[in-house]
Amino acid sequence: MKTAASVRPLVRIVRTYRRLLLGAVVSGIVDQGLAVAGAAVGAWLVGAAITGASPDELRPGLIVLALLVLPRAAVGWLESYLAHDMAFRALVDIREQVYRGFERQAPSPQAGRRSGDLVSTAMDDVERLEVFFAHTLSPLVVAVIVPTGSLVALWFIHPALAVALLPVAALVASIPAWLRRRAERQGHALRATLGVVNAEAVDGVQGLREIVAFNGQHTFLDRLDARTADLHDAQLAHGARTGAERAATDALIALGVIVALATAAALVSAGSVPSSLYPTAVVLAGAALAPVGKLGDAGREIGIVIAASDRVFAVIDAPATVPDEGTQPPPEPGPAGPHLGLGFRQVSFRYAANLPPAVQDVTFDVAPGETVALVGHSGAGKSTLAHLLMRFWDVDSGSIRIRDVDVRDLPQRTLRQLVAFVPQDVHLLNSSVAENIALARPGAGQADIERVAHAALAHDFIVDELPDGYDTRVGEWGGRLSGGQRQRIAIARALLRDAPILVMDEPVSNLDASSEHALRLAMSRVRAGRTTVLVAHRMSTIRTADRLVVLHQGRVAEIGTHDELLATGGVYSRLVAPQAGAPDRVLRGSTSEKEVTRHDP
Amino acid sequence: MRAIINNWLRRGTPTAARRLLGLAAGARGWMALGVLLSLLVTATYVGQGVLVATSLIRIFDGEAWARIIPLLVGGVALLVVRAALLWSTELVAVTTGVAIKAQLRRRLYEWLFVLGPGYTAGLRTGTVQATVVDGVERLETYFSKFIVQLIAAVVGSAAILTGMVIVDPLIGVVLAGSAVAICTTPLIARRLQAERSAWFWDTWRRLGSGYLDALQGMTTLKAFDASDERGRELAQRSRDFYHASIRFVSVANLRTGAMGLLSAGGVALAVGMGAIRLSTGALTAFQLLLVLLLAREAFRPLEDLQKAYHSAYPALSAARGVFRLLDATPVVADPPTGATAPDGPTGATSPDGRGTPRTSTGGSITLDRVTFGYDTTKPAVLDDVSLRIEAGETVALVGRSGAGKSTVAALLLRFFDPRSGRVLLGDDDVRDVALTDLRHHIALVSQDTYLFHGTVRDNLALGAPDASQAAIDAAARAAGADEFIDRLPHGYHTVVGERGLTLSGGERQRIAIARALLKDAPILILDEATSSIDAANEAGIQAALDRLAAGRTTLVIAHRQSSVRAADRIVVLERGRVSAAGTHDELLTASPDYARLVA
Ligand SMILES: Nc1ncnc2c1ncn2[C@@H]1O[C@H](COP(=O)(O)OP(=O)(O)OP(=O)(O)O)[C@@H](O)[C@H]1O
Ligand SMILES: Nc1ncnc2c1ncn2[C@@H]1O[C@H](COP(=O)(O)OP(=O)(O)OP(=O)(O)O)[C@@H](O)[C@H]1O
Ligand SMILES: [Mg+2]
Ligand SMILES: [Mg+2]
Repeated sequence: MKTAASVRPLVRIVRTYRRLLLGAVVSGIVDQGLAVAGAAVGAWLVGAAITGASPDELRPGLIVLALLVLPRAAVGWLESYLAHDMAFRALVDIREQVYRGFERQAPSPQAGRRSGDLVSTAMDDVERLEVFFAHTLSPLVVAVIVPTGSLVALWFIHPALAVALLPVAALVASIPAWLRRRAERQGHALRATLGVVNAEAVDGVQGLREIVAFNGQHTFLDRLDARTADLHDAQLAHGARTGAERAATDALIALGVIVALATAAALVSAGSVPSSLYPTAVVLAGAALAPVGKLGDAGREIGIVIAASDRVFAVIDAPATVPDEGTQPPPEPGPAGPHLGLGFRQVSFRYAANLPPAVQDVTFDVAPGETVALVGHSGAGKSTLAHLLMRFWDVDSGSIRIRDVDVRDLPQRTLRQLVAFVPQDVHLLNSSVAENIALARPGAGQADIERVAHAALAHDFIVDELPDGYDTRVGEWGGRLSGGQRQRIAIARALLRDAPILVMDEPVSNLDASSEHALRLAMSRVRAGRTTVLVAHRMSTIRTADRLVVLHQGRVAEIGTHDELLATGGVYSRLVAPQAGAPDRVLRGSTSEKEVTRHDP
Repeated sequence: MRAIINNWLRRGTPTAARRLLGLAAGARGWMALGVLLSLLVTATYVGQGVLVATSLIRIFDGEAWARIIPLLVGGVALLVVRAALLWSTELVAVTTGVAIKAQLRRRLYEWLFVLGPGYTAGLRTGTVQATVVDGVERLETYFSKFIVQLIAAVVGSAAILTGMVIVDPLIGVVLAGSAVAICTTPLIARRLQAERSAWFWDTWRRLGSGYLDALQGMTTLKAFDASDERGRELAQRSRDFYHASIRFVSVANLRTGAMGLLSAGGVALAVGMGAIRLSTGALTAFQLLLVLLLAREAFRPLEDLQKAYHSAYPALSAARGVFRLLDATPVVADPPTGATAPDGPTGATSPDGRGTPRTSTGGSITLDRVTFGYDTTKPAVLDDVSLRIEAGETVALVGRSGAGKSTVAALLLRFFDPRSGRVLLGDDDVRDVALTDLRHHIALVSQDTYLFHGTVRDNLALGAPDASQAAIDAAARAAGADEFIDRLPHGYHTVVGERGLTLSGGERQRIAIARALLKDAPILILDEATSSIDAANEAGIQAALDRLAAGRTTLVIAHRQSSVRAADRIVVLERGRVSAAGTHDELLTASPDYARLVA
């Protein structure tokens, strides 16, 4: 059964908290038991009074009634407290697991889901499970035990009463099962559409600048409306079903009372039951079914709970994008020197089965201490190679080696200690400049941070131009910094890592030439001790490399030094031709030059 | 009773409740229907109680069993009616919510767009997400559940209590006493809970923002081995949220407990008193049975109200978030329609009186002694900058990183207003041009490309939703994007993923360029539009742009000589001031800065 499969992981989590659950169940039973007993005693008093009992004869009943009322409040509070305590603790555990799931699956989230949607899973979907932990488990037990007890009590008044009521009780209990399939379908639709609305919400805020700049408000709002309409359709369908179930529950409980009324009437008329017990029988029938009704309140939400649980555990159970199973120790510096070399061996990789390979059969080496530039047209696969080295993805075939150790054989921790990375899309966290740099080494002192900021040519602008220096908050995605400032902070961060291998993916694309030049000088000192892989388009940057690996459509086209490659007149010379003329300040008529390059493949 | 109702409504400030009710403007009819249905449900419970009491009394009176059959049939009829009513109640509640939410969410986004990028730059996306999605979802319960139930409960309970007073004044008064006491329970815990609930919601939003930040930065966090640490931080925050939640629940439960005690106590007292009064002859058996069966019904609506109150509580703190957003002041304000430039040389009003500038084709742009800073307490980013770009001219803006180039672009699009000085579109101060008109005139390729989750085509057509396929093809070709788009698995219909992350950096930029070209606006701003594109591709794009720039006013921000040397004029920005201007050749000789700045 599908439901059972969805609920199983939840039950697994409950095991940790079985004491709390037990406490909740016991207090729940006492609470509902007291409620039933109170109603029955009240009704007994009425019956006794009507059949002529004297005030003295009523007194014990009155005392019992008073005694039943007081503890109820305390027990009720306790039940709810314990159930919620368990629930909220369980939610903390689940959120932690969801985070691990995010971690394992980055940078390709589970089933291509968007971050707004995934956050709604971490937050709201998890929160929905509260219904299961706090409002389903112990009411379920209570709904079995208390009505059973009440039926036994009715049995003692007269077995026929219990027999008449039993089918009604069974019917009430079965209501959530009637439309279970539909409930699940609706639950899934509801949670999924809500997730999409969440994802759109994030896109709307983060892309707001482009939306207003392009007057795309209407397009966005229309799309949002369409998503909202989907959500509302799902909510209406869900409401129609839960409304029907609620109505059915209520009607069946009322039917139970009427059945008890009729049966008891017949029994009293026939003289098999004393008339003083008549009100008790009727009231007991109603009270007996109440816990089943209460369970129904939660039962109606089961579709949502299951859908939420499926979404949550889809994240938790999704396999890691790359498995972290390596156990090799970090490669030791060899006899040749302290540096680590790199090797790409026939590396092929595609992002998805239906996509063409992003890189194919790529083989090259980076000698220890050497700087190699990856160059190639946009989309050639340069960033992909950097990502494969970082093991954001794993190669489909071939291997990437650091001093002859396959990166897949290293624990990811070790790998990340060996390689410092400046990504093409710099992501700064929404915190201070100092914290962003220190991300690379928690606990780094201010002196260290400033040292690397100097090296990355960031110190001056941090101190001179940012409002609060190193404590300036950079905004979401570093939005309060200029493009070049962001890049230099990313470089500083990578330098702080102080790793033997440095991978920089277009680290200076947003820098002006004079800053780039200064940075180049500063970096040459840093790079001296490191093996460096550099992705670049600008010739000034490319020329700082010892050797160039030229990629063309995912394959290595040429390898050599700048001068060698220019001389051979191959892919590289065509690639940089528009720039090659410029540094000599021999400014040809710009159009004629463009004519030349436009016909290039 | 009135005072109590008012108190229920007046949580926080008196205006907050009124404002909240204002949000429900479009759903009043549904809410009224909800109240009506709810009252009818209560009536059927009362009817059922009376029928049961009558049946009981007939049997007590020794009548034949068959005499109660009509009553039983009546009971069954009532339960069928009630089932229908309950079902409708639920539907009406959802419909109420839907009506409110659809409107509110749209309104919030419309308002966010008015607040503009200048405002949202300082926000956390996760907080906005929580407000417009979860917040609105929760807010709705205030109306569809709480307000409806409040009115229905007060009216329903009052009616039943009145009935009870008629049955027996003494018992009626006792029951009414407990009902009033029940209504005051929320007041006892109000202060306590209000604080908790504000904290609760804030913690929730912060936790959500934390997850969003971590999720979007996960690749970076992983690269620096910092994801574990971040995970621990979030777990700690999630535990804080656990504490907030459990405290909230325990306070709420105190109230529920007090309420349960009062209602159970009230019923028990009424029944006990009734039994005694019957035995002393003050009450008839029928009256006692009515007390037994109806005393509970008097409290049932109040209990439902209590449940509704519980689910509506987060609504109040969510409402604060919603109002905070709605109360924010836009960074730039749209001019009142029909306004003319106050100090403009000529009246800018077009014949239709809508303040539309006459600069509908071409259009020059002017910065007239503009001073601007993001932070009012800090030195300006742009200091007394004057710059004029004639209609049809191509001007390049170069300068060190952080010099303020992108800021100039932001001012032209009026994401911000200058501290002093003016930005002119044609002859009109941009402050006098309707924002949509202004932005209609400008196409932007921003420095950090943002692509939306959606197809390539949707992204391209952002500024021109009705563009023909031929126009899209042409724009893509000019931006050098046609070739790789063709290679994508579904061509123009390929979904590019969040932020376009399934594309390479240069591919994203080319889509952004094509998107701007497709908008076909008289003014084009290219902010380092080709920074991630290889030289060969760039040259192609450059040639196409040169062709398209004809007749267009173009501002090019760039660092590469290849992008700027074709410009009619080049302006060098140095620490927020214009330090030199001229053609490429002029500047090469005249400005040592320039030669160093462009490669
Ligand atoms: N996450 C992804 N999913 C699917 N395809 C991808 C993904 N990332 C990149 N690609 C595709 O893989 C190819 C290589 O991309 P890559 O980012 O490695 O290019 P690049 O050489 O770095 O280009 P650029 O210079 O523009 O940054 C491109 O065609 C791109 O569309
Ligand atoms: N939204 C913002 N809030 C606060 N300060 C900002 C914001 N955007 C930019 N700044 C600051 O304003 C200054 C100018 O930034 P701007 O983005 O205009 O520079 P730029 O010339 O475009 O530089 P780059 O070439 O690096 O992109 C920088 O010091 C930057 O830190
Ligand atoms: Mg790349
Ligand atoms: Mg900039």
